[in-house]
Amino acid sequence: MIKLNNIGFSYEKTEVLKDFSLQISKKDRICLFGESGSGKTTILRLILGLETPLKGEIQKAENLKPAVVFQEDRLIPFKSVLENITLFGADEETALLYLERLGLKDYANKMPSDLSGGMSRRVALVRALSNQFDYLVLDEPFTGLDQENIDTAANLINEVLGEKPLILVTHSKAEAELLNCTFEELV
Amino acid sequence: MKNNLKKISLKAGSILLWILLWHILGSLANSKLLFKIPLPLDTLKEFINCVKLPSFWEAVASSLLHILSGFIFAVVLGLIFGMLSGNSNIFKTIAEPISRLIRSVPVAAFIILAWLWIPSDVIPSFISFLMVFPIIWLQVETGLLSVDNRLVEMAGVMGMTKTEIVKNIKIPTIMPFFRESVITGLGFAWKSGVAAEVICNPTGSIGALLSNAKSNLEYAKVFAVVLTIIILSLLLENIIKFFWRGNLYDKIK
Repeated sequence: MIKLNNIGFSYEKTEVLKDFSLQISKKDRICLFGESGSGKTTILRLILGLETPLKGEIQKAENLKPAVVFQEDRLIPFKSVLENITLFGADEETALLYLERLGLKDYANKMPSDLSGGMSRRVALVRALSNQFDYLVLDEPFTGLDQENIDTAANLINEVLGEKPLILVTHSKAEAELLNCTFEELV
Repeated sequence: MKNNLKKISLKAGSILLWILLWHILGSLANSKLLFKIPLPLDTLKEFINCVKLPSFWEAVASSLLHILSGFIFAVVLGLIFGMLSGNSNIFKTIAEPISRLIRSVPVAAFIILAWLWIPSDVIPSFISFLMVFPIIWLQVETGLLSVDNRLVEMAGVMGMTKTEIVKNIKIPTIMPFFRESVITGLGFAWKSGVAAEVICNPTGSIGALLSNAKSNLEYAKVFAVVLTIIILSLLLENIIKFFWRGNLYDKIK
């Protein structure tokens, strides 16, 4: 489905990736695991087409639609919570259902500025899960959530994801295990 | 309701206080023969005399038409230039000296310069345009530069088209900058346009009425025309605030 072959990437003079290869097939759930600066987020950006590799090549099946939770919530500040989700094509019913699952039903018509950090994170998750996608990309999806909310969110992700591929970046092995990921260690 | 009544009473009270002060100072100055200051009642009488004359309304209409045409042209062109310089560094570098020049030259100098080549009845439009154009341009450019690229990136990845990104992210970001620049610009257009009329004296304009009243030493008339200018300025400002901050803006949003 997605194949990274011998990728090399640098930010100015700092080499981030050298000869990195990865294959993501249907049903794969991969957790990119490693220390800060090891290139985890860069790999996500390369997969999403937001960066171009300096060496190697990326092969992707055509018209694959990702759903993404970035490292930051990236909620549109002048749109309500519900609009932030439905703007990307999600139907309102699904959005409200998932918001309810994550304890945010009463916040559907609030603005992002009315939300706490943890609430914004959950909205970003609902936005990704409510819209049609072929693969899911999550960069530190549980930042700012307590254990109860992490468990609820992980259950929803597992349920919605089904057999679609997942590429996860996290510092926590426990979180990756909740999502049944296999580890791809980065040095 | 009670709070509103209190606010209105306080405003009315402060206006009355300043009118009273004007009356006292005017009476004192007139009685000591220091200099002539028309009293509030004389000004009001002259103002009523003015509004009875068709020529007065013709002057008001002519000034409004000239100044607003310059203002509207400045809004349109400022928007285009702002978009271009917010999107292209090359355009910004090439065009920046124009905006710097306009902002640094005093309005009176521009009026005199314009008078060398432009007919006097067109100068108010031109000066209004010149004063408002860089305000709109810079604010639209600032708005565009403040668009959060991370949001644009997220929206693109999640499948939003370029048109949808403009509609849902870029325009709402620029709107507050544009709105404020239009409101500020209108005040500038009016003041600079009337200043141009006073200097260039185009026939049948408010500025010419003011200039002629001064030449004829009609003190009360000078005050009455200034009163007209203030009333029109407040009227324009409130009309645009009503449409822009009220109904119209909500519909656009």
